[in-house]
Amino acid sequence: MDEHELVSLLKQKDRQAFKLIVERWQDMVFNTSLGIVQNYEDAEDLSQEVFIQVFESISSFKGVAKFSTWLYRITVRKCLDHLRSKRSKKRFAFLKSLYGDDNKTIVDSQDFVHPGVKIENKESAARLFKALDQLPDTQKVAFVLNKIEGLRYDEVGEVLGLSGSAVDGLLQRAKKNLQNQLLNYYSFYKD
Amino acid sequence: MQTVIMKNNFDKEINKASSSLDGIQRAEAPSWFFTKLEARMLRQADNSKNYWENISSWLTRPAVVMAAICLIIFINASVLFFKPFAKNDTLATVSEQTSSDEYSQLSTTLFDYETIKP
Repeated sequence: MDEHELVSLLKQKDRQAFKLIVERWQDMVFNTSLGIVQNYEDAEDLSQEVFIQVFESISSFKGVAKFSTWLYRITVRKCLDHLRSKRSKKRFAFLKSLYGDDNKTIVDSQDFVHPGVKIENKESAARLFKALDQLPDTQKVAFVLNKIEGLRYDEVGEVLGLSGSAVDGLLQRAKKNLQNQLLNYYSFYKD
Repeated sequence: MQTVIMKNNFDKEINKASSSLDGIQRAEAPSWFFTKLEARMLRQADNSKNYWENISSWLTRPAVVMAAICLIIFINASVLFFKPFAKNDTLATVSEQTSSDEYSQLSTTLFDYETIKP
């Protein structure tokens, strides 16, 4: 069954069509979420929310863009909303105290390891993801879509609503910022 | 010399980190993803159905219905029998007359415009 047939069946709330759509795109949604939020449980939760939104708002999909582009947009939006909410909670917690009521730290500092990275690159990749987490949201998303999802510049542009050259500029800035972050990291640990 | 060696080492580490994502495989969604998703959607549907069921079951309780009927009867009775906003007649007539006099002094008719000389 092709994409158009699946979408038109889903608009009629066909369960089988929904199941096929989920099975076809779950890895894509999960991988994108994981790259942006860098937490396995959060990525799973967000992926479920993405498909729930797809089910509920499929009637608003007009078919002008590809279904996958629409799916990426929903995923990116959900992930960025989640990150913003997490940041504001952290800020509030910092203002109250660095320690909880039972004297535990609330600051989260675990290294994220992407399951798809080769074993010999895991340690370096963990440092890269830590640096990636410090990037501005748009640069982070562009980097994840290009490097982790493997989208071309024009495809990234379709998701973000930017031209190919704008995406190129965004990725150049992202790479430069990542290098600066890594330089700071290595300088700090060398000292 | 040592600075140059350190810089070279940094560059090497940075390049290593930058290329650590080469050949990265797409992460797979957790097992039973669709089953868990469906269970969550059913839970959400149940929760919203339960909310309206709770409201409607509360509204149809005999005590709530009786209280609502009594309240409506009380409001109607108070409007009909107690007349809380009724005016005093004498006072109304005097104030009406005063208003009328003031109005006649203030208002001008076409006749007034023709007779009043500049």
